[in-house]
Amino acid sequence: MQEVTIKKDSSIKLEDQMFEFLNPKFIFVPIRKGFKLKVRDNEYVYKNDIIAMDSHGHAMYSSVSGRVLGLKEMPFYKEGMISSLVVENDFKESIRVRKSAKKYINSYTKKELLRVLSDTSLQYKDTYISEKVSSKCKTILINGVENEPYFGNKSYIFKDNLDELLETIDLLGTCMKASDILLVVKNNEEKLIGELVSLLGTYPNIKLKLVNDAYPNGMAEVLKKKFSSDETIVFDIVEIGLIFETIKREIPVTEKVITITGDAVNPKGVVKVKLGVLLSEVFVTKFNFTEEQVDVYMNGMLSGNLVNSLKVIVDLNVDGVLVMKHTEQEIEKCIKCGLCSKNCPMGLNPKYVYDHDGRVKKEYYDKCIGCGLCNYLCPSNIDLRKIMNGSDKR
Amino acid sequence: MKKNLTHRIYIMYAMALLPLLAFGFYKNGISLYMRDHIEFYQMFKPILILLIVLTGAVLGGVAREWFKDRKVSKKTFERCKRDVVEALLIACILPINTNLIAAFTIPFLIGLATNKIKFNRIAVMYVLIEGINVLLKVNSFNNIYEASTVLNYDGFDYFLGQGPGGIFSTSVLFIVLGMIFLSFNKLYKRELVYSSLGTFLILGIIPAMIKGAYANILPYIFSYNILFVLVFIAPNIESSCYTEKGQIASGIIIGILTYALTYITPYTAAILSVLIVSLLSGIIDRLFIIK
Repeated sequence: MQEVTIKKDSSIKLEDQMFEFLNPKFIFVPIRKGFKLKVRDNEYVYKNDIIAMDSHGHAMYSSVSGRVLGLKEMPFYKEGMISSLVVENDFKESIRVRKSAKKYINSYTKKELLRVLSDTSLQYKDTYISEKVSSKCKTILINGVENEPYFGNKSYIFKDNLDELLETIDLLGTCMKASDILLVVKNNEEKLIGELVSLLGTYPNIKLKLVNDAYPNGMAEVLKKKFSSDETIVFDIVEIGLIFETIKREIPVTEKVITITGDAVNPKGVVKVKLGVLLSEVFVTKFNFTEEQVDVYMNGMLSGNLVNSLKVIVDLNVDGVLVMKHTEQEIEKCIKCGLCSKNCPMGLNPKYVYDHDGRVKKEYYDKCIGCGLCNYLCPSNIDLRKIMNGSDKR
Repeated sequence: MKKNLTHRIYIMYAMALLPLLAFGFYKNGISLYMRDHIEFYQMFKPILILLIVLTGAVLGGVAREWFKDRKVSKKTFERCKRDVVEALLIACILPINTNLIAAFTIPFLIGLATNKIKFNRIAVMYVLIEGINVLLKVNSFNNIYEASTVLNYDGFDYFLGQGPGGIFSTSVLFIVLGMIFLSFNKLYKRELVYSSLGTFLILGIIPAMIKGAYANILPYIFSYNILFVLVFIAPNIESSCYTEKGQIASGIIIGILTYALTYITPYTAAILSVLIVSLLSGIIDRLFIIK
């Protein structure tokens, strides 16, 4: 398995304390295909109220309390423009009903856990977690490795709730009847490893696995290939954090942790924001650009994309923003160096796809995990990941 | 943050060649003047040939870029970085008696048509210039001193670069140091270099050892540009195989071909092998691509 050590700019360091931006003026709730609105214009909504629901009972919630202003087309990172319901925040955080939740997480049965997860429509990266938890597996693999070099979401999640996270992982293991639970972290996170070692005595089912601080060791597919077999379900530690937040109070997730960093932004850090907030509002309120010309990478430089604008709504697909000084990168013709094929973690050959203008078998594309290592390594600056994902040429 | 850029490998190539250029200037210029074989101004002939080849290649490259954009800017010269390094490499292996018009014209024409040539351009340039040299009977690799005396070098002399070869390509010591230096760059196709060198050395050493002709081994290995071509020209980024297995396979073929061709045309054995294998690199790569 190929991995590449990314040389990091040591001047890019995250602040120790987590920032918070939990009082946006507006939030935007995407009304995706199949969802029906449950509120009307000018209606008052409470925090955690259902805004829209699909035929399967999956719901979209409001992360603030306030007045509904109506629908507006808004840009989302992965899906592009989506008609979204605008809610004007009244900054009261009013809640309709306060549900009572269980005192101890480990007292949940599988049935109860699934009920809470489906009632709150908890999802992570386009997958409903209840569907994942309802399936059986031999091994549960917990991905605690930060994928993007400059991001720190996972470190902060570990720092704040380590014991609770382990409790949630243990609960998942019991509910899913997994014989092995592997928790993977980077081998250079000495403090975290020390804390984990002392706590894991209480959780004999959870085994600690270490990986190098190299790319793309934070990708689920890579870890799966490294440590386990086909009958494995991978949970991200962020996902575990969301499950914990949900079952602790039996309320939907309304907040998200994202990283804002780079050599052209100040301060640099992890910030907790409301789901549905406009990223540019977070920037204007909390952060400053230190350069006139910047390159903005949504979700990081390697697995993310260069974007033109910060006018993007924060949803569960947004992990952070890397703001770097602008650099001119001329795209040159392929020099046949072979770095892309030599280093592809999935053993693919991006140069072969490039040579055939994307016209290769569908199975070939499907193996691509979109880590972007080929793009990073390409000395000619060719966007190989885009070519590998070129579905129109299949 | 991006570390691999095309110009880095070209800069590293140029840096790896610097000691060889200095030694070639000493061997074919300074030392001849010090031995009173040539006049003072003739001492600079190696540098003159180098400059002529460089000028031809850069002008060809600039003309090529001008035909593309119809303007000359800073970027035009940036795009000629490959032409510069290829000119340095070709100048290294040319004989000291090379025809100067050919040394200018061929790099110019190849630079002009560079995008049309998919195989090893340095090999093509060398074959064309050497062809003209042979026609004009100026293809001798010996400088005035070497031509005027019977050489009686031992293996160590060859290692230091006293043996026959191109203007700047005879110092085995600096070639090996250059190879080690380039091996630190990810873009250097070291698998190809190691496999070609390994194959050639094994094929060369074993028969000599069987025959007991130990004295011939080192001159055989260290002469005729062979090491220089295998270390610097065979792993040419754009014309050699890019898959790992393809590089190893093509290295082995280059090694075998070089060994075989030394019996027919020792001075051009290595460069001809590289040229032939560069023509086949696409096919070799295809054998190792998982489709």
